[in-house]
Amino acid sequence: MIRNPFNTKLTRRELLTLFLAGIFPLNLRAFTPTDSPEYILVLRALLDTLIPADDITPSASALGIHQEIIDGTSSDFAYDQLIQLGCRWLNHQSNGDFTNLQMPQRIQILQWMEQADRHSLPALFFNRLRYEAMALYYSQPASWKGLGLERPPQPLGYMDYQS
Amino acid sequence: MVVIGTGAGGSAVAWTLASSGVRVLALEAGPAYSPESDYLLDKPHWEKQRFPYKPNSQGNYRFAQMQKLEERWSMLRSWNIISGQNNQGEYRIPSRAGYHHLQGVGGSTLRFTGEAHRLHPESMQMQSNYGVAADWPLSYSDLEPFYQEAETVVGVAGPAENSPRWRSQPYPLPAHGLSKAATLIKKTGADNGFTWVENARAALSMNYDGRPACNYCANCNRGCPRRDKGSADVTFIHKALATDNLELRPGTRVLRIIPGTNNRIKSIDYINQNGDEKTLSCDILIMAAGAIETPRLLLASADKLTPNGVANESAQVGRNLMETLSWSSSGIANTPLNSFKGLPSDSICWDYNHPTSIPGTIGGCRFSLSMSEADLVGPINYAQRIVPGWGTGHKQALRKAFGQAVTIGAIGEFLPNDKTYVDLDPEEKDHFGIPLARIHSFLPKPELIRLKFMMNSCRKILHLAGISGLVEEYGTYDYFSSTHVFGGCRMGIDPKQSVVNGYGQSHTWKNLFITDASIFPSSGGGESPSLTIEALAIRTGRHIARGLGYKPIA
Repeated sequence: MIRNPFNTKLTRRELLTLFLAGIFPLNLRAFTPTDSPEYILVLRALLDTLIPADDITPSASALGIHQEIIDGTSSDFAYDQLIQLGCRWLNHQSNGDFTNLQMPQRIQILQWMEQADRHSLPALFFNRLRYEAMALYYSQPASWKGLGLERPPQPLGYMDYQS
Repeated sequence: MVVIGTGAGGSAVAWTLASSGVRVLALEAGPAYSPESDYLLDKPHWEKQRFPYKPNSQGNYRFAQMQKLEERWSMLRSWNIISGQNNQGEYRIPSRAGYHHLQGVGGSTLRFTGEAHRLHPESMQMQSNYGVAADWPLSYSDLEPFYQEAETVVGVAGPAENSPRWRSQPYPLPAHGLSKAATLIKKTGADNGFTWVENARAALSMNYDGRPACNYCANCNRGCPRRDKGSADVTFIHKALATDNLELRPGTRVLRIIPGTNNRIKSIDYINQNGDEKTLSCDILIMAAGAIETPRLLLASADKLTPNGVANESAQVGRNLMETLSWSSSGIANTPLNSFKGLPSDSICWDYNHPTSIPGTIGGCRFSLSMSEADLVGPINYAQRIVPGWGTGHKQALRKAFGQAVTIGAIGEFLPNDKTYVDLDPEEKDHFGIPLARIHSFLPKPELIRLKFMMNSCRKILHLAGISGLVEEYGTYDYFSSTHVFGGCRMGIDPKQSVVNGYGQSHTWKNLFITDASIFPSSGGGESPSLTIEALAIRTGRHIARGLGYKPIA
């Protein structure tokens, strides 16, 4: 059975909510491209809060996850706008620059986003980024250390499956 | 001889005919897959994509508005430990694709788990014995030799004991060894109402027929690059092509069926690989496009001779559709199991499969280990779906949980009802101007009682195995999510109540046959249908070849 319980795309209702709230841009040309340093730095900081380095595995940004996310926005307008709006919102909550915050302060903001109304911008941004970041990060073998997973399932399979 | 569709039914009938010396042309709307190069299981990003769908590998269809969800059945809503209640709306909706099929050479068998089940004999006489659904116009005894033949071609591995599905011969291959998770679940035991046995699987437990044994990578649903899974492309199609009697044309979409005189189909119109529309005369036409596309094509072929569609003289085409009634509960065990390794669905419980085994409703179900079907076999899905949080704590929790997810899945009988059917969408058409199929689905009370039993039982099995912390439950009360779809061209004895006879032959159009799951009069109590589709198709192929004076080539 194919299924996935997460609806990570913005729904029409959610897009409309953002429009009506005045959050979604009406003048797109006024916006900076998502691959500009303004967004890349915020995105890196956010992703490294979600997936920091520890003793055995690297951080999200060390594996280039921020760039993969930015690459993914090129064919998805709503996603692109969500990233921009989310980064701006983070900066706004951080007195201008999320990247200047210490880790405990970043964590505090993310905890708030995680608990926010699921249709609000902070929650939509957080949930989508968490979902995408986990997929991209755990697609890389460097992230598998400590899991008992050393390689893709094929070509060797798991002949030790009973042990 | 023209066959439309090369899934389980189309490939099996094509092989039967081709191996009898009959020249066969098989038209497939989807692409051909190369197991070695198209599947991604040897790539680092293997988990990101469930199956590598190619262009035109999925059909286009619509859903009619589904039923309003009721408070009294709210316990059946799907949920997840991270996202909460999945369907936030008031109505039942399709889960993404909803109808999980595949167009391509091999059809949905390319991404199926590969459970190779025979139907419970009692499930074939639901009207006579229990006053529901319809009787099959053939018995288990009639079908048994063809089950055996299908199992031999596919290379089914199964246990020695499998009553009440009596066997004339043992399975071609011994059953697979159980995984650690299966061993844990088996301990829940018959004393508690759940007897677990090795599942019959279309996956090789030994080298067989030029194909290598399974290496237990746990990802049948992502496509098997080794060809040990018995999908139709590496079994029936492979063997049919070896006879030189089969011509296979992928990327060929049939537009309409043209009826002729003397109750015979004259020809079909189709679009070839170059995008050109062509007409093809057919002595015999065999449809095997699945329980949605076959009714659609028959209905969309209405003309002066057949104003309600081909073979729809009794207004039965599209009626009696049956979908997948399913539930799964996932939890995290407190002991390492390496549950991302091993053969998917290696263990099964048939104790509630008999039509009368569930209190308060007619129709059975079965339970199986379903981590692979739930897609809990890699770190991405663990991280996204069942290990909450983020930060360093999330990494640590993931390392602790990975390999300990256990999913119990249940699939149950779906009885036909008047509100579940397929028709033509009045507005939406495909690129060629042919109306799309529209799926109508309704779950009446008997189905919901059965689903609730399935839910409670899945939870009980996990509890008995010592797994108390549920992390996700998913069911078809709030989502239409069907891997198995049946009916729509029911077979039967009475032309007023059915579309085809017991050989899949139209009651009216003597050179028109159907060999897909659309002809099922009842769904069975959770058995996976591919083996039954193949057995029926072989039987039909033998019948046609015999009528033409052909005999199987030794």
